[in-house]
Amino acid sequence: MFDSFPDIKTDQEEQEVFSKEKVEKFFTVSQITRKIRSSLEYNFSNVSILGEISNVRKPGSGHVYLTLKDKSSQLQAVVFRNIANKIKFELKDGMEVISFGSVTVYEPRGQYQLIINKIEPKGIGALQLAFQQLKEKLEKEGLFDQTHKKPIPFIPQKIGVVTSPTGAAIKDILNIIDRRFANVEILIYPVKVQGEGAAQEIAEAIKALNALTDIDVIIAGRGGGSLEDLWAFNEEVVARSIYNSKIPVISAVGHEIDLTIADLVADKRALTPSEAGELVVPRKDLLLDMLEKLNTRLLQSLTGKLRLSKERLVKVANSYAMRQPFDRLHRWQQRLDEFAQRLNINITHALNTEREKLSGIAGKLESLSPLNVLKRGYTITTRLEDNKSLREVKGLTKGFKIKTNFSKGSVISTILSIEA
Amino acid sequence: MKKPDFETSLKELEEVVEQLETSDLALDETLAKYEKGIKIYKQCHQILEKAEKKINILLKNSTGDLRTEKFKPKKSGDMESSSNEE
Repeated sequence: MFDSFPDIKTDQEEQEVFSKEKVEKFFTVSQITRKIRSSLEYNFSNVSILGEISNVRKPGSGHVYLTLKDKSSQLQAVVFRNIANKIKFELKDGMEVISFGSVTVYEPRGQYQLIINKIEPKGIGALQLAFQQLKEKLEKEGLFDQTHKKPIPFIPQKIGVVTSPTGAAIKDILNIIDRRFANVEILIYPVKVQGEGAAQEIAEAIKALNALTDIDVIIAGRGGGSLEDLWAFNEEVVARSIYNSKIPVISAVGHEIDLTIADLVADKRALTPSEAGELVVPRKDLLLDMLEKLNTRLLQSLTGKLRLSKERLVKVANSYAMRQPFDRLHRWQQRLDEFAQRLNINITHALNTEREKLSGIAGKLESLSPLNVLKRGYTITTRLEDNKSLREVKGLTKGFKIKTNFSKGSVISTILSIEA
Repeated sequence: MKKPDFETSLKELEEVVEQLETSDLALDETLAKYEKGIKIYKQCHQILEKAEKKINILLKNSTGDLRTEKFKPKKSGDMESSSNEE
């Protein structure tokens, strides 16, 4: 792990330089500093150093300054901005790391320091550590809270899909949706799902879909790959865009074993892109089946009620048997029978017309009530002159005018003859 | 107006059917319930058939404006690694 400490060699060239300067008897500070620098750079370039991080400083310049130490020594180190930006995990005091870089001298202060080109946590991959760190941070901030999770609509009208248009994920998602609930609108927002800038594109897409008014749910994901391939979905910018989305987001990244930060923030995690297709729409055939079953039960219960009503009708008819015109009654019964039969045979058709006929029958049932005398066809006859109701022929003469009141309307007649 | 939601409607329809099946309603009420049930049944159907099948892809032109185009998936089994190409 450690480079062996090499002896400071003085090769031919160096000797020449030294001898030339010996003539001048002294070095300027800059000269000697430069010499020390070259010597160090010559001997300690591309070394790997194990040490604990302490005293991390991150000024506005973007460079990161830190001290590497072990039990008995310290080494000043710097990570320049372009390298620091690429480090996925956060450098923290107390962390054991292996640093790769070159030793040099910071001439203005005459201090030697390690310029770090690459740094890795010890005992764990850099990406795993980055994942752990971001997970911890976002968890503390509440980005994974169950209370923040939005419900996925049962039947979305329009689904936004953030993924690569040429990847495996989009095919799986479209296939499953087509199989379950084909008549739905899908809008694909094409993004890079791996490599430089992928995380920014994904975050931008989620934000842009939120600016549209008609998206009911968003699926964001990609097919399987290495941890590096999936990394965009572990980036903070993606996590925040999901958290800030007003539209519910289903994450669909890789396989079941690939848990990403995006999965933790998402309103719903699909284990695979195919599962996202299953979570986003219900099976339409099952819903239709349920509906038809309910419709059948609706009709059957109505048929049952009809049978009962018919029995009641018969009862009523019998009790008024002496007064009722039997033929009309029979006609109603027959229609009711017919109707019930048709319902049984042709149970899914002509619901409306049958309902209307039923209403007619209900009206007729009502007319049998002794309370609705007039509606049943009885009339009240009154004298036209004073509207007094007539109960007998006594007192009436030929030519006398009478009024006959029906349930609706009345007629005025002249008496032609009287039969007492 | 709030869109009628399928789950709620379906539940309501179930309730109507149960009422019709279990309680001893008068004929008028029976008809009214039946009518209500049919109405909800049609509503549910409408929700299921409302959306049209459409698969579009958003494309950005050089000035950054977005437009949509019908999506045509590629036929052969592209690997995920080819996803960087777009």
